[in-house]
Amino acid sequence: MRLVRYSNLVTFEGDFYVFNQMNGTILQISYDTYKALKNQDYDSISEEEKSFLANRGFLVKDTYDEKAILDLDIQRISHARPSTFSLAIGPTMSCNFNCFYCFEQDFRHKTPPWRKMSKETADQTIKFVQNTIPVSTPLEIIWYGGEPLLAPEVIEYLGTRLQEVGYQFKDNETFIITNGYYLTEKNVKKLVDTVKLRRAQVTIDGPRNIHNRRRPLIDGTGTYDVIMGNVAIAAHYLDSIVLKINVDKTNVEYVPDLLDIIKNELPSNVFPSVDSVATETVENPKFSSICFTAQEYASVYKQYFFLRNDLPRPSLTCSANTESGFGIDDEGYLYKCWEELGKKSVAVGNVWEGITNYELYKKWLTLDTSKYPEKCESCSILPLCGAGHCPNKILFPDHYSNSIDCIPAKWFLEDFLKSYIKKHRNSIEKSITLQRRQ
Amino acid sequence: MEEAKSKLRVNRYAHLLYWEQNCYLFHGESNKVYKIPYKLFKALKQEKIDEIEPSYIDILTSEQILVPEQFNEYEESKIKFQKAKYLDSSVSSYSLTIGTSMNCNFGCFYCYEQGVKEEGTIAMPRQVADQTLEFIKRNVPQSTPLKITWYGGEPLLGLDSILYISQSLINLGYQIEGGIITNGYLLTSQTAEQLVKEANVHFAQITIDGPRNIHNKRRVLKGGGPTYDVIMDNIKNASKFISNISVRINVDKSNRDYLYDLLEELKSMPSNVLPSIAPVREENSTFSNEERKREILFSEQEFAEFTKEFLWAIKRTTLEPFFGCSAIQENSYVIDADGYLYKCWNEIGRREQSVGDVWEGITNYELYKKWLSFGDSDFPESCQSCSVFPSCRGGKCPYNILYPESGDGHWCMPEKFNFDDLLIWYIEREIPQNSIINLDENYIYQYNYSINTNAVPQQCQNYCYCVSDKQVANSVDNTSSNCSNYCYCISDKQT
Repeated sequence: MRLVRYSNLVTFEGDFYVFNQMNGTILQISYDTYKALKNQDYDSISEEEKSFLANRGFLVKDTYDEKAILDLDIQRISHARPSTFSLAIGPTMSCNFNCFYCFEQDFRHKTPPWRKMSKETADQTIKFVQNTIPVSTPLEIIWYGGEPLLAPEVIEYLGTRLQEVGYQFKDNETFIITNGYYLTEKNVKKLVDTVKLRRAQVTIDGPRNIHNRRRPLIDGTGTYDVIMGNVAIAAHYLDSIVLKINVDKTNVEYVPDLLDIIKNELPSNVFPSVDSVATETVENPKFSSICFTAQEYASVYKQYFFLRNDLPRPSLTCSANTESGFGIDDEGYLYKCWEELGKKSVAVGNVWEGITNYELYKKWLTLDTSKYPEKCESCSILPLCGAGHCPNKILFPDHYSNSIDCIPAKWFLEDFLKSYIKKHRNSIEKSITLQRRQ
Repeated sequence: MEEAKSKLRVNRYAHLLYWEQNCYLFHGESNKVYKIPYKLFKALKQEKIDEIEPSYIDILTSEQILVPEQFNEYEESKIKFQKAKYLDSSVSSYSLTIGTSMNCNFGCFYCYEQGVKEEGTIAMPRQVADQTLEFIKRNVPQSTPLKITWYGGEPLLGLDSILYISQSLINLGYQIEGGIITNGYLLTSQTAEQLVKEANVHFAQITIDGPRNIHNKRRVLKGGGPTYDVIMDNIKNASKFISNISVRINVDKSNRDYLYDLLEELKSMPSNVLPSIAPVREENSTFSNEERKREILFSEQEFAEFTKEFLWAIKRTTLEPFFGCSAIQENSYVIDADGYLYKCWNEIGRREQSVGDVWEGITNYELYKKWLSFGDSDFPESCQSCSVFPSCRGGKCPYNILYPESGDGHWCMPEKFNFDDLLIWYIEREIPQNSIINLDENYIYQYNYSINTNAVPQQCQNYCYCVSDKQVANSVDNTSSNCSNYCYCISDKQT
């Protein structure tokens, strides 16, 4: 028996913890157990404690092969009959914004009149879903685009039809990723009523003048006030709104300003979330100088880790590398990865014919840790990072200009764990020895 | 006005911290913590004084967060340090450290009293105790609270003198408060009770150097023999009587790995028993073997690195400004079992370093002056530009600065090297949350209003209620009456 690889022993103000990256769980342990795990002196652990730790995956048999187990997990998730099916639908690939860092730069429509999914395509989408997904499988729908709220009537039509033909939404809710400009009270109300919209992600890149420079309308007009006004109202109708803040070297210093504004002006179910503008999403190479390297971003992210309430989780797969997820664009083309919506050259099929490019489709399902870059080989946080958590980059390196980025935890996992422990000290599960002691 | 503003800069002892969406400013000289708006934080951080809202300038300058360009905080701080040596001690209390035995029943390898304690007087003779009482009567006014730390050697070898001196002082009408530094071996339950009842002892420091097998290797009886179990037992029993017990843990590279083992053991102790960690250092040339010294002693950097994980277990209140120890303050002496007077604990028993005796008082004025005048040019050069000078003052130990040849010289306080962590700890856990000054707009408004009664409050409708209600701290009488009149006036007009 031994401690599972990809685990971390942490001390915090005189208490002792072990974190298991394989399943994302943390346990408070006694000092004796801590010492035994640290010194690999497993014989000194009581049988009761041993079986407690083994049941939770902290102690494993000597022959346990973590990477093989991770590969088997990936394979199972890729192929097994899914408990939910995920659809990212772009009711329009048009967008009323002109953000310099948009990764859909080449394949979104930038001029009105906005092209929207036709009724024929919409009806065919319903048929495709009916042919592909058992009606008993809950759907996890993400309304995406382009800017989905340029076509609220398409969302309403598709969402209503799916329910009419018998589909349920996962957790009885729907999620939308929008720039927020048309997240008006009227639209929100309608989508809440008709398609069970419960959550939204909206992007704000800084305080007014900063945001307006980065995320203007096509004609250059600022969007800050409209979005903030919308979010404040929409939050009353929704369970939660994530405010995504895309940072690079030019706006990072305004993040605290924005966080203050969010705290003071928006309802408490609006949660800020810091993200990085990745180099590959920026079309123009001159922008690469303003993007953070992975390590630079890590030290930015570290400052804002307190915004999170969760532990790092293993993240090896996404809907793209499973058989239970598709992205569908406004013309009915099918994709594995959302980020490719509208990029017809990498479509795997369409809603009329189903899958047409079997080679490509099959390749998506071959994800394996052996395909990770060499630097991941000996990495101590491999399950949490999953080679940058982007199967697209791993499987199709030629689609991207830059290398795979490590996640911030690579540099600051211990800080993240301590920050979690500090917040949740009283609710962290205790090992059996500690439970007995009380 | 504009001209004056442009000449301001941020005080070097003002530390800025952005932590979990709050902005803090800690002023090392005044020991005040402020919560400040992010806008102000940014302007201070980037030293862009002209971007600070004008309404903030007055309070920032009066709190010396902003200072004129030519201001010299280092010199100012040293002047304060000099003053404190005299003012503080003479006004508030008198402190004595008395070694009732200069001998010891232990034989710890790292003791800095090596060469002294082996042949030292075992118990203070009665005539020395009587003369010590005379010395106190002559020097300490009865009305001045008297703090006595019982020291040695091992003070409990001279328990009789502790009780005799204490009782005599109490009978003479002195208000005494006692503390004791002991190895704990003789601190039985009965002794602890006696110390509390007859000598008003509130505090004890007892050293444990690790779990049983480690401690027993380091802190042995003279001539050999374990001490761990006896001491741990004594601590447990004594804690029922003595209100604060500090378990001092002396760490070097040979016992560092066992620190958690000991801290675990201490978890079973009552809550008035708290650990504190200190490095074993070379003092009074204890370590004759250079190789052994290198092998086990931490360097300044190594110890700083080591303490990062133990902020929670290190002695508290490390950020308060350091105003010196008994060695450099007036009205403070160390007295050994033979009646000799010293300024510093490190020197006890080394007669060539004594400044006098209880019969004649001060005899070596040169030496006495050397201690009392410590400060100013004595500080190491590196202190001049250091941002933690008020809390550290060259390592919180004048002895190490004045006598570098006897040991490994001055060390900066270890927390200097992870100052942000310390600051977070200090702000979150150590200081009372209600002592944090919230420099928000409301505060600024009230502040500016209170110092300038002529100012017409533009937003009075919003604030008059607070002003009249809370009675601003800085306001003088006529200000507050003006204020309430004014507010009354406005609210009257409103209705």
